[in-house]
Amino acid sequence: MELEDRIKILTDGAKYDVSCSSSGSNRPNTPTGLGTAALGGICHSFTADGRCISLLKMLLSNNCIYNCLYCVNRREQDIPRATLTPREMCELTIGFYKRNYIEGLFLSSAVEKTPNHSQQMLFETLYMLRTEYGFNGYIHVKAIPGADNELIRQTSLYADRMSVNIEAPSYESLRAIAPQKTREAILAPMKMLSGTTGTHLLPAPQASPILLPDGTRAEKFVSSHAADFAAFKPRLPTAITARPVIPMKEWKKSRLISIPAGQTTQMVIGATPDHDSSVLRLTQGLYNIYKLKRVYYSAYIPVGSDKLPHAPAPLLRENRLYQADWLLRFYGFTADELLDDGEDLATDTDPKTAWALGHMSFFPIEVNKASLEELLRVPGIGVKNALRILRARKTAKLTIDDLKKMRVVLKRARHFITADGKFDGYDGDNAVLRRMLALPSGKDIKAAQATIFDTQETALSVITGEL
Amino acid sequence: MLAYEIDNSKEGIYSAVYLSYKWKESPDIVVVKGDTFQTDFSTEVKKIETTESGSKRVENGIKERLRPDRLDELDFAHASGEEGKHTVIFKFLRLLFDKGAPAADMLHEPVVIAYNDIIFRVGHEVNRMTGFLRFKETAEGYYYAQIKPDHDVVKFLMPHFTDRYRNMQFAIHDIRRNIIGIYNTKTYKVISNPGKVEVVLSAEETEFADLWKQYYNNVSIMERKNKRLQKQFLPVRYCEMMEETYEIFDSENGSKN
Repeated sequence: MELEDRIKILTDGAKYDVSCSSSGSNRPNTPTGLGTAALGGICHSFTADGRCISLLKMLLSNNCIYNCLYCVNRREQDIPRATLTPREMCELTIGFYKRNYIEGLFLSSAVEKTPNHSQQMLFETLYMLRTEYGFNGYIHVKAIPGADNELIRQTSLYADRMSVNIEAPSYESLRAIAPQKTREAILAPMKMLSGTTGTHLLPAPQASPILLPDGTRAEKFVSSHAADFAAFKPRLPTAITARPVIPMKEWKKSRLISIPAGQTTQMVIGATPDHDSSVLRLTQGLYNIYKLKRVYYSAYIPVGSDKLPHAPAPLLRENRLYQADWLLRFYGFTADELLDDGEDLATDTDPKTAWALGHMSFFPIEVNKASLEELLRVPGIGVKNALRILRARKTAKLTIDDLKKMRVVLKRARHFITADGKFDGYDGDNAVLRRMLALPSGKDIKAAQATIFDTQETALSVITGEL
Repeated sequence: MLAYEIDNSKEGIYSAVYLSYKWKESPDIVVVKGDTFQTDFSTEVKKIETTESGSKRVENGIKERLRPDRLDELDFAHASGEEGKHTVIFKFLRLLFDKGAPAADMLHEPVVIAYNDIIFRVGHEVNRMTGFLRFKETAEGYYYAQIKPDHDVVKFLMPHFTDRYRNMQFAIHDIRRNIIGIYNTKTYKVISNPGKVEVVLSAEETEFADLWKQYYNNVSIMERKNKRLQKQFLPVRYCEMMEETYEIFDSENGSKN
């Protein structure tokens, strides 16, 4: 199959893995290398649906032996299948990188033949990119559930970020929608990666890529999964052409830690009957216990399976979860504060406003005296504006007018603050206030299209975290 | 109304600040020869001579009052392509000298807000350019990029790209101002008015551009199409320089082409 067609198929198959960030790593260049990673990430383009393109996001293969019901690449789906070799993926990545189309690579794969086989292919691509091509741009690579932990660990040493998708908010749901992915197969690499993030010294380039924990190199790798052993053969990197391999000394100096941008994960929203409360509690646990950098939510889009809903999950629900996620990470909220067990997030208003309306005794707060934590609780005052208020009030007592000049969005905030003692909000019935602050159109809130009502503000807050 | 006319340079603005204190007066606007501005029957236009001593005194005074990161911001302000920038910078500097170092934190003052706004727009463009700028491989082996920025940003882009493409020769050409930044894998230079620049593309170049377009067209989730959101992040004027979005630019400006 032509390269162009294979790219089309393998891009199509990868786009539902919504993570697109190239941030979190400030990997430096090397004297003979190509590329750097920018700490804040860089957006190189934007898709028709408004998402940033910063990485080349592709599958190495979409030929899957698993049958996860929400996935467009599942075994029983009748779609064209394609594969790229590690060499082809490298050439594509380097060619795009030199033209400044991308920050780096987001590499995933279907489970082709066995989990170890797919993980080995991912490993070889990264190894080739880093050592043969001297590539120092951003690499986000997936861990294949079911692959050997040691092989996953070896892969992580060449990546900036690694992720394994948790797929579902509960074990029952996982069994229902992804029967071949066991909970151990997902949690084991997550646990391992949370322990190794930021700690390991990279191995120097060497003949056999498989280094055993006791420091010796293995000809044959003894797998803990007996069934995989016969199919898995450790392979040397494919023949190296005229390009020189990076000298050992340079490699040792240049990189010291593994996956500097940490670990992330993703779950599908709306394919199962789980409530937002389960999603948020799991999210909180992943941040606190496994120290994940980010949890992503992918609203379910039907791909033809009878056993799952026929309608796509509302984009608004995904947006509200992202807003709640920002509140957990940056605004000091806990999952319990936002939702009780079995509850879903309100659709008519954002979770911060919903919390504020339910805790009016906390308000109004005085902007000239409040602490940062208190300012962050005000609907409409995001992290950026809270810090600007703290800076500006050192020089003068701020009035409502001053806040307006500073472009603090007072549409919501004014009901919850005083400025130099003055209150400019609505002082009446809570239910009336809630209606005032709700989304313009009440009809069809469950519909999938974001363009039906004015959610530009919501869509923006999902990306910037300002709410 | 009082207007100062300066020559279009950093030193011109600084000399204007120096003289406005010496003459104990505050102009309403600061313009450059050729600028058009609203006049009334009482408008007086004073020509400001750029002097090294005057501008040096002001520059030292600024260094005493602004932290290093704010000094970098001042460089951004000077690089702005907006016509009113001289007045904005001038008024901010007057506030800085009147009130001292705290002036930079007076985020509620209109003068400071206007100043921070022009800085933001330049900085924002630099960030966007690091992403939107596209190189093309030439037949000679170096990489060439053409940009049409609103502000004079080539000098801010060179450090980023020379670090990233350490072993690659490249050139960034601002065709609006005719300024070109060139890197030969050892050092870089920013040259104004370089004369005719002829570029011959390599044989593989269109192949890679096509593959990239193919990738771009397949990466959108069409069920979630949101042109307004896309436009918010990717203004139409930048679409011209990117292979994959050129059609957006073309369709919006088709009647003008």
